[in-house]
Amino acid sequence: MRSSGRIAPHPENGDYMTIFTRLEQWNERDVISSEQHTLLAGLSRREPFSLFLELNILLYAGILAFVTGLGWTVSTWSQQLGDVLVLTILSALLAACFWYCFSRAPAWSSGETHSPNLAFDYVLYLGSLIWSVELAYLEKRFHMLSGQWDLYLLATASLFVFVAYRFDNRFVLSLALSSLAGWFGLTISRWPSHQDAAYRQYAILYSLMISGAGATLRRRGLKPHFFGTYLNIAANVLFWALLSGVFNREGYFVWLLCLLAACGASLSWGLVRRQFSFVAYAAVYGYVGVSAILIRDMNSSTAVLSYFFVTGVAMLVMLVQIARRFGREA
Amino acid sequence: VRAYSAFSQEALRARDLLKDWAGEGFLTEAQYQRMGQETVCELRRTNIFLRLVLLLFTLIIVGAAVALFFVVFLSQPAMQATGIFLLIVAAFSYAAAELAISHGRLYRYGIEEALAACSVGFLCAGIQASMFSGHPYSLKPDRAEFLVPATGAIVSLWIWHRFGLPYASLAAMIFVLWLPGYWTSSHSAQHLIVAAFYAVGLLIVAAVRRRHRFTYLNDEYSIAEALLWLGIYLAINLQLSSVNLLGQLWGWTADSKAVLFQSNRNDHWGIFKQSLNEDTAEPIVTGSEDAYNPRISPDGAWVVYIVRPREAGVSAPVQLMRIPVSGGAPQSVMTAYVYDEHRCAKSPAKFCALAEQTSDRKQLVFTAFHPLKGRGRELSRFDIDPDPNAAYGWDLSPDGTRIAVFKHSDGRIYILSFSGQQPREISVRGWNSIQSVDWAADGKGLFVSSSTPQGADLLHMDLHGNAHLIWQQKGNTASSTQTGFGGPSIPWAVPSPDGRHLAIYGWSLSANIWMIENF
Repeated sequence: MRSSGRIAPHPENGDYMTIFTRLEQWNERDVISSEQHTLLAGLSRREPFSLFLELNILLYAGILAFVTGLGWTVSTWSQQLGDVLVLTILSALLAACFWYCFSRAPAWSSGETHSPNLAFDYVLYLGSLIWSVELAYLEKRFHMLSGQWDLYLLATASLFVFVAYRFDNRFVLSLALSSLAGWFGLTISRWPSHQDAAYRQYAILYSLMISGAGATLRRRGLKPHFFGTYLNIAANVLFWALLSGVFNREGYFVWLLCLLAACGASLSWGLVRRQFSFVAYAAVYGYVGVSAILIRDMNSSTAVLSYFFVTGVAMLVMLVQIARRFGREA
Repeated sequence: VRAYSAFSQEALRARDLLKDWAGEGFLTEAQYQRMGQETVCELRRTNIFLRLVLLLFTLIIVGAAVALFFVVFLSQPAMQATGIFLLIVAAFSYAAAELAISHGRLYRYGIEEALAACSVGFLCAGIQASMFSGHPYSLKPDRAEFLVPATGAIVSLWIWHRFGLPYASLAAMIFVLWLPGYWTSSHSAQHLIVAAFYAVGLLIVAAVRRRHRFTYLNDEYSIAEALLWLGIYLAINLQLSSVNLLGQLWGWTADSKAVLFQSNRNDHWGIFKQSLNEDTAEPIVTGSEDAYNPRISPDGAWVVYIVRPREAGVSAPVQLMRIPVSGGAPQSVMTAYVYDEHRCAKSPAKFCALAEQTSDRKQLVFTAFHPLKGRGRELSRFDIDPDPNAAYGWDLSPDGTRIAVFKHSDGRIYILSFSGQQPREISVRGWNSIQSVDWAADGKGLFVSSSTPQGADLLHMDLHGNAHLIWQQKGNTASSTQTGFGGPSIPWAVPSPDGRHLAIYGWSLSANIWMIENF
């Protein structure tokens, strides 16, 4: 039965089955119903034509362009416009964005909720970015916290965490975690006797803290799907911190052991959960760390290049095996 | 001509659609499983993360293998031998990519993509090295050198067509960007030529795509069409004005990515920096005093320049200043009676040098100075003609071990070594009116400009006096001692620290003469 009433397009050189031919066959063999056939054939013909991706890209680019322009306008014309006007406009935009989000958002749920419409997420991004612009303006013009930027970052991180959980938005959550990382860094830089090593230790603490927080929240059922965001950011910060220890001339062995342990954990997590980004982290960070140690004292370029060739082949073989066993898509 | 059969690619498309439909709830799990079994194909795919890592390690292997071959078998190869070897590597890389697909049945697996990308890169590098490296500063190769990006574009298009890699079409578009630079110096014309290329590509892709609207090829052509539209938009909307600098070139930043020049904008000579990729210059020194002769310090952190009060004559003392390359507050280095100008060596050397004339006008004394610590030791002396009309120029070698000095409008250059050796005289064969000298980045040659009856020639010369022409400026020119403030001056050249670029200063002036009759 051809319920669509249309003749499915066939390729001119037709020695292979198009999706239309397949759908017809599945329909004839009752694998799919006539209604499904009509629907799926229409989707294959792009009917209705979807602009979802294009609209998302345009909205995202539009928000970024708008906020960039806003920041430039405010920084360039603040003298002519006056503080009151600038702050009024920024506050009005901020209030409008968050009013829209609060008025349109579905009731809060600890589980995953979906945006009420396509524009919702982008209005939320706009509000979050305008908040950052307004804070920067306040500090630049009035030095309200006497240059204590770390407190601004902490306040921003707190707000963004709230917004991310209220509106179920992973992008804003990643902004919150980045702001929190910035707070850590700036706070350490103010310490009178801070050293580079302090950054490393606190980066590790940061990554353990946010991964722990993510795990706890997931266990308690609070937006458990956010856990991946926590874990990806934590893993990258941790690996960078461990790598910086490995690059030290002294005391690097402990850091190397920690790096290898982290790589092992990341690899097994990635394979067991089929989250292959963690397999990639383990392979790349582990290779960089181990290579840094092994080629450190090599003076011969032949030896260094041979090392990269041999280990590159070994890594490739190992990764192909992993891809064959675990990472297959088709 | 496609590496994958239409059957396989259509089956992959069907699998992707089924996955989407199952995810959207249009198919039950049982339907999805059953239909999935009927769309199995022999191609091997993997997920995006493993694909990226496989691509990375394949690039590491190929890069290490090629470099290893050079180190072991071609320790100091001629450029043409290098080029031929790279062409062979390109062929091997391409063959390996074909093999990975035909035998390994890899599809978007990272490995075959890296090999295909390497084949394009090595092919272009091979053509460049084997055909256009007769002399690094020769004029001749420029005319046909467009073949390099042209080949890159054609091979990228072939890889796009053969392997169906969407980003290969983007690579072809990027290669096309370089083409017009070989044909015209006008930025506007370059933009329009690029847009014309893209428009032709768009017409072809749109026509071909129409025949494949419902097949697996539709997405491939859609992406190319979208990229071409974007390319056309960017090509005709980016700034069409050409670079317009009224200034004099003096040096490069240490990373070889920007030139330093002085320009008399706003009625004052200031110092500017302009990146090779930019159409506008970034001001570094634009105070109320005239700032001249910017040179980069050996460590690359400072611009060392001269402030000369406008009312003071050329024999008055000047203030040597320094300012961070990224801009900031100027700081004084020292005051000196600088003859000609100062010069700076390149790291690992740590000093700049200036020349001062003795009070009896019979010698030039070259003295080192540190951009932060000020005056240092005397480096060398050179006997000169005390005649006030006699003018001399000089340059410090990049490694800071020698000075090249010459008398303007003479045909000889003297190399002074700081290790106590006797000065060495070099006669420039074929030219006898030297106006400027700048060391090549490797210290093995000099860029020399010389006046000629037709105008001025810019030469590259080795340290035995063998020179060849790299630039010619026709028409009357002023001597470099007049520094071109009042009209066309001789060209001069400053090589980038990495030796890969040559910035040439040139000044031309054209005018019309009108004859009025019967008035």
